[in-house]
Amino acid sequence: MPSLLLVEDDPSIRMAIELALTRQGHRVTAAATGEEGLELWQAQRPELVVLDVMLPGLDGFEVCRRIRRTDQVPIILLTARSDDIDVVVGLESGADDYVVKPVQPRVLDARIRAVLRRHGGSVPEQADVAVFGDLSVDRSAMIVSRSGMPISLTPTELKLLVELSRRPGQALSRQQLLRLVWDHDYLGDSRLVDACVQRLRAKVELVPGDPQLIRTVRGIGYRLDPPR
Amino acid sequence: MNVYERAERRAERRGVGWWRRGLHRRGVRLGGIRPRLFAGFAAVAVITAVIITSASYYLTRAVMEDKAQQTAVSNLTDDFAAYGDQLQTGASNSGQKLEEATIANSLHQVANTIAKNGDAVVIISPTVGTISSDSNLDNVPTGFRAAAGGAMVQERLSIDGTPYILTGATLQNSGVQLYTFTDLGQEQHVLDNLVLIGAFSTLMALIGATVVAFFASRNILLPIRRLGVAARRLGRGELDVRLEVNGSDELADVSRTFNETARALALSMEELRAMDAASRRFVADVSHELRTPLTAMTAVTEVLEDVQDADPTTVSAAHLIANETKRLARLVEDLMEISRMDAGTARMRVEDVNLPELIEATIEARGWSDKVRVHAPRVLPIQVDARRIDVVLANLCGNALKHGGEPVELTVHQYPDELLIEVADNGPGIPEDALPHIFERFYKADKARGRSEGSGLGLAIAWENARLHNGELSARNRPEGGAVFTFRLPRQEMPPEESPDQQGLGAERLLSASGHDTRQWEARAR
Repeated sequence: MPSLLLVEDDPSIRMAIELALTRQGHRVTAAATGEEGLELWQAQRPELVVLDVMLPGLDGFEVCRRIRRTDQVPIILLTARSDDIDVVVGLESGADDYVVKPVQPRVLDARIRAVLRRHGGSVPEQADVAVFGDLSVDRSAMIVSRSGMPISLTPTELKLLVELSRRPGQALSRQQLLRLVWDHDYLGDSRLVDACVQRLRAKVELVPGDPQLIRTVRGIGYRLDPPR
Repeated sequence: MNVYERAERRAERRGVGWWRRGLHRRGVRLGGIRPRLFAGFAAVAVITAVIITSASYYLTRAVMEDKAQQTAVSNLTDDFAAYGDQLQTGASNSGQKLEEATIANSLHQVANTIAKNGDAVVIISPTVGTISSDSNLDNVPTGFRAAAGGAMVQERLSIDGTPYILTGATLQNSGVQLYTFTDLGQEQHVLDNLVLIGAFSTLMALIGATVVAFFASRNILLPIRRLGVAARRLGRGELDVRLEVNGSDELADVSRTFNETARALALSMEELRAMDAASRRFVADVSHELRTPLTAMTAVTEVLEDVQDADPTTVSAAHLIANETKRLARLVEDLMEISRMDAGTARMRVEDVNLPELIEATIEARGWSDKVRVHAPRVLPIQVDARRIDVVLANLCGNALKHGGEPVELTVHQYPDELLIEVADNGPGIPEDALPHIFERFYKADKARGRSEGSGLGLAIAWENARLHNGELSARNRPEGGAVFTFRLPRQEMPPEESPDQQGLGAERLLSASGHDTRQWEARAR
């Protein structure tokens, strides 16, 4: 049973979502503020955090950033659709996915399960390692390292890099990546891809401002290039 | 802005060509101010010139004729004094009987001598008859001869087109008559020149009047034209248009009045807009406030839906609340979406999209694959906000399925600069009186149907989404039955994808709904 941390300030929403997620088979711990959320996260180490953006005191973005400093736990943001810029800021602060309020419990559950799937996955028997210059992507052990030093990636970032590394030199559209990495349909938000690519570049590129590995393919999407 | 107005603007900027513009725009307006001014000025100029010329002509002629007459009289008197004796020889009762030929010869000499001062001279003697210094001028009218018998007489007459003054008198006690024809040709020449000068002056006055009329009408017409242009711009909604007030004449008064009117109009428009904005903001705020309880309610609707083992009343009530919660949530979402569009804060996220794939995804996501037949090319790349196009297509198809019934046909027509996406159904069509209102908010074509599944905002939101793409939605009934909704989507150059090394995320790709100008966007991106 996956353990989740829900951070939501409105008591009714908190209670309702806790109820719904428990009903879907999750073990839910709820926090009313960002500070309480951080405490519970450190104490309980949940497998996933569902984080409301609008919180009194520490807001969702800040909580997200603080968690990301040390931990790659999957984070799903609860956001209001009207605040479109929220999504951008939220994704930049390191969230893996977001859902828009009012959310259908079924949709939230599907997103939670999709994010958690990225974490696990079947482990193949034989070693499956791709090397791009001094960067190696071990697809069997799910470890990425540069010059032997492991790089800490969130499950989503790792999944994205793995999917790209399976098709080196081949451009993948944002829609394809949304389906492969996020299990979203055609109308998923391509900004998820863009945000994740930016975060991934910051971690694996030597100069994130001048990416040599993960290249943008104008009008299509992204591709992973073996270094020249 | 039509062609004329655009030409007008250009000309206004250049500050020239207003006359050509006037001709081009309205043709020559015969009753207009300009022709009337021209006609008035020309009439005044011509009449004045003609009066002055005629007056001086007649005065000059009178003076000249008078002088010529006096000269002729004094000359004749002198001639009688000087040549009286010689003329006497022409009389029949002279003392010495002379030969007629000698007399004639003598009189001829006298005539020629007198004629030396320029006049033609005729002597009529009772013995030898008419003696003339000029063979062309020897015919003295009989009536004049009779008059000359008593006293010195004068008459103006014209012979072969040349004016003459005929002066005549009879020598005392002899019956010899002396006549002089004074040629007025020189005087006539002076008068002819006067007429010529008069005509020339008239012409100059006419030209002068034209020039004056030109500038006078310009001074009047230019402000009037500016007023016209300003009024048209005001009519188009440019409420900040003002006229420059020059001087203190009537036109300046009109300009001032215009400015005051425009200012008052702008003020009341502003008030109306503020009221409108306030009410829209209220709707947005209300929707926002509704969302928090709705989020909590939505999260637990599934619990209510799954209620089966309670008594029937509870089950029904639970299901009703679950369903109505969903409806309410949809309505609030739609209201918020409309509020965003009204406030101009709706954002466009333009992406490269393969339209057929998008259509496919839209239809599949709603489980309409068996109900909607799609006629589209396999590949049709466009740059749109996929979610908004999805909303438009889903609303059109959903509407067609709900009111029209299956099968619904979705057809994509390609044109060089636009796409037409038609959604046709085989239903009863839209009532004619409902057609103009079909995209209005909360409009229900069939009042009897009462509440329907949707929020009543679906088509209005679709319409707004089409507008965000600079496109439009329209509805009509097919002659063969059924309704057709057409989505016209311009194929425009939307903002490009971010460059490979661009670090910013998404934010740059957000396109403000109020700023449709792509160039503006590009300028910001660079």
